[in-house]
Amino acid sequence: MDTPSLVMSKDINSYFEGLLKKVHGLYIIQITDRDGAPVMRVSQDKNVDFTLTPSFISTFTTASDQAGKLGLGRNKTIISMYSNYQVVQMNKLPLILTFVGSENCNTGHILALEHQLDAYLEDMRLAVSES
Amino acid sequence: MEYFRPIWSCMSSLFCGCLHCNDDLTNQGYDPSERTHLLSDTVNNSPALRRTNSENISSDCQSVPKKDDQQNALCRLVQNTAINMIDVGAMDSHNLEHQECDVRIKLYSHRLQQQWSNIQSPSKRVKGILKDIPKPDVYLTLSVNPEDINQMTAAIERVHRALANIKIDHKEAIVVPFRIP
Repeated sequence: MDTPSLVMSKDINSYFEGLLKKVHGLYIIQITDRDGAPVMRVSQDKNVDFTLTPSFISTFTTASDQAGKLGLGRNKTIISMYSNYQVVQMNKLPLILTFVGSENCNTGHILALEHQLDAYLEDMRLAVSES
Repeated sequence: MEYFRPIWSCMSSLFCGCLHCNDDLTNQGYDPSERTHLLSDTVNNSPALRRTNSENISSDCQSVPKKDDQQNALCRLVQNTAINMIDVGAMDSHNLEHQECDVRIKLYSHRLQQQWSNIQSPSKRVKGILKDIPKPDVYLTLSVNPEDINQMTAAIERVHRALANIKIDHKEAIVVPFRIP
C-alpha cells in the first residue's frame, strides 16, 4: 500500500509525463530553484544532459536579471535555439522552468504549457521558498 | 570587466561601509541620476576652501550635516550605478557546489513529501457513476420499474434515429488555409 505522498508524487509525475507526450518533440521538463537545484524532472529517452547542470540554469537566472536592465522591461522567458535543440526557460521565481525540445518542436505549444503547469507549481514553490 | 569589478566593489564598500549608508535608497524618494551634483554648493562648501579659510570656523560647524548629505548623495549614486550596471561577468559567480546541490535536492524532496502527505490523493477518491450516493448498494438491490425501462429504451431509440438522420451538405471547403502573407 503506497503512502499518500508517494501516490501524489506518482500522480504528478504521470501528469508531467503526459504533458511531455502531448507536445511532439519535447524531451525534458525540468523544474529547479533559481540556482539550478532540481525539484522535479521528467524526460523522454533522450540524452540532453547539458540542461541538467545547475550552472546552465543559474546563468539563465542571471541573464534574465541583467537583461531587465537593457531598458526593454523585465524579462520572463528566454528561448534559445541551437542546431539540434531548443531550450525554453521561464522565470517563475522562486522556480525556474526549463523545457528542452527538438529544433522543430512547436515553441508555441511549449509556451502554452505554462498555464497548465501553474496549478501544480504551488506546492513546489512553497517547498523552495521555505528555505 | 573582470578588472573593473573588484575596483567597483571596493569603491562601494569603502563609501557605503565608512558612511554607514545601508538604507534602502529607493524608499527615500530621492532619485539621483548621472546629472545629479555630488556636491550641492561646490564653491562655498569645498573642503579645500574651508581648510584655507580659517575665519569661517563657525560656518565649518554648520557644514557638518551638509557634508553628510553630500556623502549620502555620493553613496546613492554609487549604489544605483552598481544596481543598474549590466555585469555579464557575474554569471560565473553563482555556480552551485555539487554537495550543496545534493543537500537541496533532498530538502526539496522531503518538503514535497510532507506537503503531499497532507493532501488527499485524487486516485483515492471514490470513482463511478454512483459516487454521489452515500449507500449505492441499497438502491442497486431495489427492482427497477418496467415503465422506467420502457421510457429509457424509447428515448434511446429516438436518439439513434435522430443521429442516423443527420446530414451535412457542405458547400465550401472544409479545410481553409490560413492567409499568412
